[in-house]
Amino acid sequence: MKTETMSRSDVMLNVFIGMFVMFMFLPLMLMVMAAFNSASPPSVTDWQELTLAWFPRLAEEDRLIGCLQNSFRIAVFVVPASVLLGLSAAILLTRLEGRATNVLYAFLISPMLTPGIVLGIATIVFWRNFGVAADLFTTILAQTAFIASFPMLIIMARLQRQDRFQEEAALDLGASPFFLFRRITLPFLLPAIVSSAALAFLMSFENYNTTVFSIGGSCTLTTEIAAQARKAHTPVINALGVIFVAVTLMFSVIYTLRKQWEK
Amino acid sequence: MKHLIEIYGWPLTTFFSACVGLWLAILIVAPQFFMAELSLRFEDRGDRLTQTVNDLDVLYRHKGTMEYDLEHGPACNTMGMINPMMTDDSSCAQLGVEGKLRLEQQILETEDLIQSLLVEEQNLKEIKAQQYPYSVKNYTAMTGLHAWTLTKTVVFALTVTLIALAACYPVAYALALRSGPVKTAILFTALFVPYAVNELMRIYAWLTVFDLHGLLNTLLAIVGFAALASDEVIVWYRFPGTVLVVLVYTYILFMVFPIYNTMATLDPNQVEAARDLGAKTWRIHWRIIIPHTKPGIAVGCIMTFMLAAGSFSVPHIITRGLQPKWFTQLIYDKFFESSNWNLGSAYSFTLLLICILFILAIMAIFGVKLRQLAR
Repeated sequence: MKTETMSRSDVMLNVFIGMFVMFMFLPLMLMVMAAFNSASPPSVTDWQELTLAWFPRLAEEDRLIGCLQNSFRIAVFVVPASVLLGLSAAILLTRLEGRATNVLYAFLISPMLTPGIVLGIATIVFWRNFGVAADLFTTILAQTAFIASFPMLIIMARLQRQDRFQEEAALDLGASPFFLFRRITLPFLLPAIVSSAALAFLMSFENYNTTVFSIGGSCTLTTEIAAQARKAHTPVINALGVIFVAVTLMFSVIYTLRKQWEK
Repeated sequence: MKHLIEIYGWPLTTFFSACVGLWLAILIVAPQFFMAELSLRFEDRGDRLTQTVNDLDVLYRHKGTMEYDLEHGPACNTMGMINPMMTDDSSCAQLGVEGKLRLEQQILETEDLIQSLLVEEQNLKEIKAQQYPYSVKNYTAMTGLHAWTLTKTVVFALTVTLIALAACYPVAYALALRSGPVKTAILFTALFVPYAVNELMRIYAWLTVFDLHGLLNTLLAIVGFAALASDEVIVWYRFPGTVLVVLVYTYILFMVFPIYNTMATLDPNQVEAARDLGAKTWRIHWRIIIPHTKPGIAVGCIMTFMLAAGSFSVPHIITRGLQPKWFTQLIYDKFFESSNWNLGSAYSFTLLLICILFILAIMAIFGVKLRQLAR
């Protein structure tokens, strides 16, 4: 009797999960399907002809390509800056003790918990005092302010698992602190640094809410997508969406398979 | 600090401290401080100083026109005043000697007026500089309509958070405690993909559903409640409900992963033991799983609320200008349309305060500390 009710609740749970996954995938699937339909505005219900014509059209979007280049320009600065700041903060927070550390910690994770638009606005308001107008530079600063928190948390998690005796032993054997950091601490942290750099790149590249408030008259890929998506509804953006979905799918599957394989 | 120097040496320690100091001071604290400061400076657009500045502007332009006319002959001039209605009139072909004299006289008079206004502007500026510059007028100046918009935004964000919590707890539970490793891996990937796809693309995808000839209206047409050919369709973008649905869709997965992460650290044997001892399912959740998962639930709620309340992308793309502006759009307009940064800063700071209040409330409700939050 008891097992019967349990299995019934399991069935209900499975049905619910199935519906949830459907809800998450349905809009994306519709967007992908519409990208292969010759109808414009994009539609899945008004099916005209199966076509790949919308994809080459992306290459003709000069403005979009210029904005894409800006996205990379921003990321080139945001990624190293965030990793460096995150690494420094992780080391300080792991090695320092006392109440002050908790306060520092609260301040350093606060940008993660702040709405993105507020960060963007605060940055342009601050830099206007020095005559710096909103542009790529302010976007780099606004993005770094909150993206750096993620490397900090990732690197901190790894630092906490470090065997401290290893460092002390190296020092006892006469290693200089700089040598110790370069030959023991950094190699130990390398996996965390690599994954936090990847995360920082994704967060910078995909960011919209902070960017649109801090970039002024310039654009990134995301601000341009939003501008076009608001104005019109064209299958060219759907084609871009297909690329986004495909790349994400590829990386997720590779990531999952690698994780399974490591087990 | 001593410990730190012992291990890494003072050059590296100084370097790390400098990095953190820069991050803290220039990227986090100073911008927020300056935004708060600006929000406390009320810019009165109807006061005498602003009017004087505007008047001066008009006079300078007027004088410039007259000087041009004096030198090159009037484009079309009557009594020194430009009249665009008379461009083709023969009366404005040439300036006589008398006309020139009159124009010179008027330029001198304008010059005098400008001088007296400049003195007044100087005086007003001095008075303003002596006045205490701070007030809360930017905060109290919020009109009823804007206050209503703010309330609506907060209510929507709370609703999104509650819906997300109700839907994600079972999902996280199934993912963490009710499935084998393979099923977990597949489900995890299935949820990770929509989570990682660009936010704008996920929002944009909904246009296919809500469009005039989109999925919803086509389905209605099949049932007979709409007619696509004659455009007798429902304009879904008009309803605030569309924003709610897309907000839920866009930010719901920020609730799943934190809950899953903490729930996955629970030892399943603990649940088994409770069940063997005869505890009912709801009791196992209430006494074992939920207490263990609290930090994850708290993080999920905070992230979802913050993202939903501060979302500019969803209303920007989904409303298509067919609904009253959302609070984030109002803030955007204050900065980039009507260019009143002081008021915009006040609105922005209000949003920040609401998020801080929400975080404090969540921490009090779930009894978690900040250290437990971000892990």
